[in-house]
Amino acid sequence: MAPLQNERPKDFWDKLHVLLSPLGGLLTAIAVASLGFIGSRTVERQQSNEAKLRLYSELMTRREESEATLRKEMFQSIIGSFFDTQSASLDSRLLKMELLAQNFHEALDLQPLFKHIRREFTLAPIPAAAKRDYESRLSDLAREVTRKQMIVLEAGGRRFDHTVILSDSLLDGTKSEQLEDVTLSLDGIERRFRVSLFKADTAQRELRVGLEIETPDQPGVPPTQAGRYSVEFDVGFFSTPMIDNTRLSGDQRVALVLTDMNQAGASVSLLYFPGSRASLREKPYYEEILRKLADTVTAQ
Amino acid sequence: MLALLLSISTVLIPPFPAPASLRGEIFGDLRLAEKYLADTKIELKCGEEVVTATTDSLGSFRLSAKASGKCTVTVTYEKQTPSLSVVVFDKPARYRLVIEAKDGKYVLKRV
Repeated sequence: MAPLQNERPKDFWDKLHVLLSPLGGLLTAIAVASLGFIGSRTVERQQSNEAKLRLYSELMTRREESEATLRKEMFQSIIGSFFDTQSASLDSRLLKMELLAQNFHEALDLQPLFKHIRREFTLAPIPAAAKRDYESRLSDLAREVTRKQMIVLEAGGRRFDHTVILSDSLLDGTKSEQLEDVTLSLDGIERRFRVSLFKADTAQRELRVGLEIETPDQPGVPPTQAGRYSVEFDVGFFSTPMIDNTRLSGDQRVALVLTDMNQAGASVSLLYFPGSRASLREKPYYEEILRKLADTVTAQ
Repeated sequence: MLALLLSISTVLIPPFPAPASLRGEIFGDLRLAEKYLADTKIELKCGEEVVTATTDSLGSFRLSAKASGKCTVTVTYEKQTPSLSVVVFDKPARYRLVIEAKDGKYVLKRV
């Protein structure tokens, strides 16, 4: 039988092909196995992370729930006793006020209660020295609450301190005074604040103030939110900045705090802070939430 | 009757008198723009009483006076003495002071 015409001797490449064919299969098998292994490891790790996250959020939720229950019971007990007809002593009422203020100052406007207790002290048939002592304790408590809130708000915002020298016309309320303009910037929004004083009451330790806020046209601020507007209000030791504040555009707040006052003058602090630091009872407007969500998506 | 007497005494006595034994105090820091000024002379004048101190290495100061009320703080910096009116209270008050240059003159401000 004659050899085939087109059969040629095997060269190097043919031999390599014969050798590598099974090796290729082996490598493919190894690659598939590795891919499966890595894939399953990734899925396992992801599941483990998700389980950890679930456990963490569950623990946090339970902690929040138990804390909320405890706070609710505590609040009901203290506030209930305030309106108890079997009126307790002034000392015990002041202690309850201290408990309320120290534990619920971020969630509750305590100003009416502070004023109510002060009226009770004024009307109580007790010696003047005792009356002064109670009033001093009450104002110290209010200032302690304000101090705590100011630390939190200052950490996330801006602060400017004004010194007010009380003139006779300010004490009489016959002439207003204007404090130095302050320009502060927070989260890319610059605003100018102007504080005017209309009247000072050193007995009640209160100031009647006007606050003018101007937001100039600037990038990042919609034209509808730029402009100038003013508010007028009383500020005293019982005004707490987390609750007694002025809402600004872009979910921001501004508050004036009376940090100290005597016959000669007063110290007034202006706090400009994000709405997220305001009281727990304050909710952002829906359009602000939507805008923040949109901003987050754009940033991503 | 007793209640009436007590009510009258409450009206006559001011609600928050400052006890004479208390000392007023101001504390805080001093800076020129963003730079805190160390070893800078700072003076508090309340009536006839003058209290002097020097800022520490971090630019902080603490000044105590026997009186409270309207006082003046003066800083001595580069041969100039800018000053500022302050109020000293019964309780310590924080004053963050800044020296600003205005037309070649230094001005002391509270921020």
